[in-house]
Amino acid sequence: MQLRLPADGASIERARLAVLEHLAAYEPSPRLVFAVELILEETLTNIVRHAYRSEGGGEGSGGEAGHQIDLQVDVDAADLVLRFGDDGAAFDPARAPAPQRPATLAEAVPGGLGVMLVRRYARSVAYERVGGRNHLTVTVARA
Amino acid sequence: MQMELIELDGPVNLVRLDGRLDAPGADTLGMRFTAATVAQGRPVIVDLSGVSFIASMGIRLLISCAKGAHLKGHKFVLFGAQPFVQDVFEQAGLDQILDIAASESEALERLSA
Repeated sequence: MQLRLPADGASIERARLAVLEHLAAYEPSPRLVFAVELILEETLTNIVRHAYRSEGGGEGSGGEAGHQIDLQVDVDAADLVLRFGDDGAAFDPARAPAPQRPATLAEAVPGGLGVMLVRRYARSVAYERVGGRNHLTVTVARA
Repeated sequence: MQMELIELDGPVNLVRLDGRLDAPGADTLGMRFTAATVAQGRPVIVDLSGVSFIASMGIRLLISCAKGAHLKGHKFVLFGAQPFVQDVFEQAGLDQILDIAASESEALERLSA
């Protein structure tokens, strides 16, 4: 399944519904559905909010400027693979500082939680920057 | 995302949430939730049993309100998290820093602890 969506907030829900509909044929476990929803939410939100900030339109303005996100979903016996492509600022989540699990409430900082959750719910996360585009491949175990 | 505020004897605020605590959900909830859990200055228990999904923006809101309640000197206790939501809390280490009870009665007990 392949989608191309404007890089705006409304696309996140559209992507979620399209992916879930596609996935239904594979009878996913409730846990897999939750993991996929979480990964979609965090990854797409990050792209929509941050990828186009340097263009001066501010956070979340990528859609207005005509930017689009590619999403491809492939399912095999063992895994579900989500591939995200965008032409925003280079962002390698593996290089993003991983928030340490806070020991106290005071230590809990707002940033980086999305990237951390994606890593925890995915079997693997791979990033490449090719031809001015970010390519993120997130593999989720079906079992 | 829907929110219901019930005043219990004490006075204690009981906040019931229903829906998805994704980015739009957290946004919809934002100020009303903060008002009920922080600004009013009352101990508060938050019923998460109707929350089917949570992601980082929802978590941020909970953390921010927990911090706010702490600064104001009253308790903020979550309860009733569905299993996948509880799992997210544990993956993010929040079970160590937020007050999370298993049930409404346990949450109320924690207010007087």
